[in-house]
Amino acid sequence: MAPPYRTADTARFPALVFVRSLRQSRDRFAATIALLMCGYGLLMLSIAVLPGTSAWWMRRFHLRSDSFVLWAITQPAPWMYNFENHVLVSERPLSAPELDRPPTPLAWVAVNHQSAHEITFTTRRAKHLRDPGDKYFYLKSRYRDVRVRSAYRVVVLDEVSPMARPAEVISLELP
Amino acid sequence: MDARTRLLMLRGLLWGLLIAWGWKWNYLLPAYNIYDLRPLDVPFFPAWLECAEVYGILYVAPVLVSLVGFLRNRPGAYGAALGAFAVCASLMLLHQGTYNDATYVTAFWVALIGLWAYRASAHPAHDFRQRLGFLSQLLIGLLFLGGIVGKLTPGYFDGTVLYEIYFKERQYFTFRLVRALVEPEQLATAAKLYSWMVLAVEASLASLPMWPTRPALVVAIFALGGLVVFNNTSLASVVVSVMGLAAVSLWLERVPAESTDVHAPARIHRQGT
Repeated sequence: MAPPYRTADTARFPALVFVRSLRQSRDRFAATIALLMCGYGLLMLSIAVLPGTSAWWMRRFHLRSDSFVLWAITQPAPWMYNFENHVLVSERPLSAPELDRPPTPLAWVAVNHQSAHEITFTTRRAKHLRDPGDKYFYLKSRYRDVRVRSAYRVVVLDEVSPMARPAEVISLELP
Repeated sequence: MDARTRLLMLRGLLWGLLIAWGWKWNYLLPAYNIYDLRPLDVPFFPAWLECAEVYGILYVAPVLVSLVGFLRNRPGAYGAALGAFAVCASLMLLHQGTYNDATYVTAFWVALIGLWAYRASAHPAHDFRQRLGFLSQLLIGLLFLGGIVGKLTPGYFDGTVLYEIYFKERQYFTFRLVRALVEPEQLATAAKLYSWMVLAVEASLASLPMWPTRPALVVAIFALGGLVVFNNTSLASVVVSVMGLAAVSLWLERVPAESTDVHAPARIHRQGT
């Protein structure tokens, strides 16, 4: 049986043809992929209208999601540069006034949306966590009026070596 | 779909993934060394997703399966390679050393669509290429939707975010050129204009699923290529797999209909009448 539409439709209304084609072919795999993509799309769109959702997504980039499973489920959502994100790295804990006005030479540095990458990722991990000692990472993200702040203490026990023990990353309460 | 078209399609999808994956090679070894020499214990991650060895295995495994696929040159072997990419990319998204890396996000989706294409093309199918074309459009639209939504905040409207990240110090030729051409006090204005241009382009591209397939995919290929050339060449690892998917979908649009679609002759006849 031929599909009940003309080829010209496919050029003008690909979404319509896609849905009709799914119904006719019962292609569950393609339907699942499309539904997944639409689901992620709706979740992302909700950021623009629901403040709670934007806070949730920003916490996700701070590695502060409520659970790893929930965080894992959202990992295939594609992102480009998003939110207004800054990171401050210090060798000592900072007070609330110091976080508002960091003492020289400390400064909030603008980063892309991957705020927690400042701690975990390649060159930045190598730069900040080269020597033994404590390091304090302060992350802040903003989307319109919604703000998310996080703080981590990283305890580096050993010099860089194949026998180095893992540096411990500890989530802190903000001052 | 005839056997030759099917093989070429699967090969094309796999090459896109391999090039994107291979673009990370310069990054892989230093990253592996750092993760090995300075391990981190982040309580958020399960321990096995913090190991450098797991990262290495997840990177190498799909490449090896792909090599076997090219040697065997059978649809099943290519399907296995696409499956390996889908599984490894999804685990890379959860690994402490590679989470949130857009390379693995796009690789995951392209491999998943590739896996579907492998299965769906095994039997005579209604409008296979239209379904592939629309899934490609949907993916590219989703990619740019993820870009635009999070930018609807004052820092992008006034250009400060992109000024601080790109215009102030970024050593890429486009931003060096702007710094050379524009007075320092006008740099913030240039960043604001650039930011508005990015917002406009991303909003347009987020609407790609509503466009007719052919122009949507052509525009997407140029836009993704432009992103790499004008922004950052390392972005190639993110976009090449998607460009490969779009190119394969476009190519299938040009292949004679009887090669891909079981009902093509009937439709050609109906069109003519």
